[in-house]
Parts: sequence; C-alpha cells; structure tokens
Amino acid sequence: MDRTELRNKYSIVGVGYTPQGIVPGRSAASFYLEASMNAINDAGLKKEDIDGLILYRDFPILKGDAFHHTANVVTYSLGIRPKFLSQESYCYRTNINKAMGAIENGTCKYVLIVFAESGRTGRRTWTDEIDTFGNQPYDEYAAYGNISAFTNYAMFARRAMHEHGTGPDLWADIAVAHRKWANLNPNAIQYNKPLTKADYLATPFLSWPFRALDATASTDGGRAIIITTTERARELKNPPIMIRGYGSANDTSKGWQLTPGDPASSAVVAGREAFEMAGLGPKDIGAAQIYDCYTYTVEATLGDYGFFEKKKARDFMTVENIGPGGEFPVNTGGGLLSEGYYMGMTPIAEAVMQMSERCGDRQLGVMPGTRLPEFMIVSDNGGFYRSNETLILERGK
Amino acid sequence: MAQVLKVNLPFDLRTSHDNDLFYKTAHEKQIFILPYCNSCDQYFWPGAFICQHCGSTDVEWKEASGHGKIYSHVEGRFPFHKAIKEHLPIAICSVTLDEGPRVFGRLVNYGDIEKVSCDAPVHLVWLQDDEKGCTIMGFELD
Repeated sequence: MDRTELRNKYSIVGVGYTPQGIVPGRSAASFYLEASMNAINDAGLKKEDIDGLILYRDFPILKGDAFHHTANVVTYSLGIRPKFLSQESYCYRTNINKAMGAIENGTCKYVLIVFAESGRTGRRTWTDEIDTFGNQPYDEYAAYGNISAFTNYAMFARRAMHEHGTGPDLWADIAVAHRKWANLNPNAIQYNKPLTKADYLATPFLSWPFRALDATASTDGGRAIIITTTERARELKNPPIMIRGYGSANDTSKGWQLTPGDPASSAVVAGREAFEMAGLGPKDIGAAQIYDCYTYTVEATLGDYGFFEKKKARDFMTVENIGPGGEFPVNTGGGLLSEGYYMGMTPIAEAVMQMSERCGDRQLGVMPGTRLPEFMIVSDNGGFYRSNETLILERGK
Repeated sequence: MAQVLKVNLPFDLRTSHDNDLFYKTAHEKQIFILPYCNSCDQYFWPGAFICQHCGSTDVEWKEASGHGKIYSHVEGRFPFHKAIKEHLPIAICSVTLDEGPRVFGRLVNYGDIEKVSCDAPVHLVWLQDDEKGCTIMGFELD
C-alpha cells in the first residue's frame, strides 16, 4: 500500500483539558469523563457521535477510586455506546494507529483518545506493582534493586554520555528550556516557578547520572483528543489539524537493554515512516512536541529523527535554540517535564493548540521572533523508549 | 569459580519456569550458565523456550565465563520504594558478556561511580542472600 494516499486524510478536531496539577478530592474516573466531554464540546460534537473510545493505558488503581478504569466502565458513565473500544495494558504506543484504522476500515467516524490520572494526590510511586502483588516483585530485576523507570532511563542516558558525549550539562539546558516554556503557560504545573541551570546543577542525583529535574512527575487531571476524517472535520468548528505523516514502531524488551544510537530504534523507524508519508524531511519542520518523560528522551528522539548528528547534540539542544524565541521551538507548553504528565496526550494536545493558534502568550507566530510553523512533528514514546508513534501535523483550511 | 559475597537483597527474587535453573544453579553450585542454541551456536539472554536468534527449540544451558564489559551503569541514591532505603546507594549495571549476550547485574566494589567507565572489563561475583535463599549476579571491575 502507498501510505502517501493517507496523507492529510485524517485530522484532530478537538482537545479536552481539565483542572490539573494537585487537584484533591477527585477520582481518576472524574478526569476521564471531564476531559472526554471537554474534547467533545471543543470539537462541536455530541457525545453520541463518539463511536470509538481509546483509553490510553491501564495503571494500577489508587486510593480515591472505587474501580479499575477500564474502557468499558468509562463508556457507561459517559453515556456512549462505541463500536470500537481499546486500552493498552502496558506501555505500547498504538493509539493513533488504532484510531485511524478503525475509521479507515469503516467501523468508526469519530474516535476519542483519553488519558486521566489521580497520581499526584493518589501518590503514585511508579513502583506500585510491587505492592499490588503483596510486596512481591513483579520481575526478577527488583531483587537487583532495579524497581523504577527512572533507573532504566538513567542507564540509557549514561551509555549515551559514553557514546555521544552528552550529560548533565546538556540535560540542564533541556530542563531549563522546558521550564521557560511552562512559565508562559498558566495551565502548567511549573508556571510561576522559574528554573536556572545553577538550580538544576545544585540538586542531588536520585540515580546517578539523573536528578529529579530530569524526570516528569505524577499529576492529577486528564486530557483527550478526537480524530476523524479531514472531510468530516471541515464541517466542524475548529480548523482541522491534519495528520500529514504518521509512523509507529513497537520494539521489544526491558529498559536496561536500551542502546543509544541504535539505527533501528522505534523513533528512527516511526520517524522515517512519518517523514516518507508526509513527503517531508527534518528541514521542513518548524517546531516539535516531543514525549519528554526524561530530559534525555528529547535529545534521543530528535537525534533519532535526524534533526542533528548525535555527537553534535550539544550545539542543537541549547536553551536559546529550543526555548522561547528560539529557532526550533520544542515542547512549547512546558512538556511532560514542566507542564503536566498526560503521557502522549501532552505533546499532541499542545501541537493541536499551537497549530490552531490558541496558545496565548506562548503562541508561535505571535511571540516576538517566532513563526507559526507550517509543519510540526509530534512524538509519543513508551515501553522505555521502545515504542514510538510519530505524527507530522499540518494546519488545514 | 566466581567468588561469593553474602548480602541482604532488597526484595525477594521472582523466578519463572524459564529461569529457575539459572538461579538454582547459581545458589546451590555457584556455576554460571547461559542459554545456548545448538542450532545456531549462539548464546542468548534471558532464558526462553526458543532461541531468540533463530527460533529453534534445541536450546540448553551451558557454562559460561562470567567475563565481559560494562555496557552501562547507574547508582541509585533515592528510595523509590521504602524497602530499598537501607540498601542505598545501590549500583546496577548491564554487561556485555564475552559470549555475546547483554545481562543485568549489581555492580559491587566499584569506588566512585562517576569514575567507572563504560566498556570497563568486569567479572562475575555471586551475591548470596541466605535469609531469602537466593543468589543473583554481581559484577566487579577486573
């Protein structure tokens, strides 16, 4: 099949936000519903129009929720009866693939993708699987002391220090650039909380060579998007934000097996397929929204996409280049690092908001020294960088 | 035969039908074995019903050297779970064995973590927890 036939055939037509950050007294279920309804209203649809529902992924439930948030339970409270329903049990990245597929094969017209969490007030530790199994570890590696995603990504980043000459000096710039963007975004959890490179360097290592500021943090709230055909999107109230290019790759195995510079990494493969479908290359892209669970993930992804040679990351990944007013804006809402942790919904929602010129003080093309990009690249990664969905978005008329 | 160090591990060792023999042999005999494919003559890791290289089921466990080079290493200093607090700092590493596969282990007797180099040669030491009744892989700089 010639995938260029799908170029700009699908669009994102609505985005749903909720109160976010520390929002006590609310269940994750409540955020699922609020984010979903806000996306439906934003698109100008009725909830009965939603015939496909994808809950981003499953997590162990926390205090404050009475039941496990499975997609078939959320539909009942939402009062919809979808034909397509899906939820990953783990960290694969297949949501956009499934949404477009369910429409392409004629099952659905409007697919809603939503992620919600009460992880901040519910105190998600990201090691809760250990407790879920009655203080028994869920794999053999816990006995070795490897119990957190943080540790696995730190191992990935430490090898990259050796291979590509990166390290805390560069990651500090990534953290600072994200914070500067967040300082322009009133929705961001780190709004009004400036960060300097000296602040970053003065914090302790939690798992050498990573500091707390190298990682995103659990949050309360939810976020949703709706995908339909561009043809249907033209009848709706928002400008269609078209999916010009799309790629996905879901590689295997554990975080400690990650190999920086792997020429067949999921980001390399998904990025290449997205560029090929779009008929574009890195030089055509005006800005990026990159899944930034960790600082190094941004460097790894942009390097794998071909925006710079990996050993020259230091020249590209500067606050001046990727921060506000820079030549190549990255994560303009503050990203997972400084805006809020809604998994892949954070970068994709920000991309749609920027492309539809709804970003206030941080709006590209309005901020002095910036341009509204014609094309924006968006990444979502999971499974310790082993899974990747890449989108190249274009604003439709 | 690799040296044995007595330790207290932070969590029980969860094993499966696919790696029971590895950990049992480590605990009872202190012999280091790796999954090996008789069809394509390659080692692999972790242990599995088929060879990850060629898919053959003609696989067995075969004694290996325990020598290799550090691929990557980190030092945990923060209690991501309360049960690990008393074990900090705890260094972990991935090691590319001379036989080919990359395995996971604890790094021990390493001094300053920031001065340990990727690709430094290492050898296996067994970390044995008598109370939990299990033994895991540790690595020490040559």
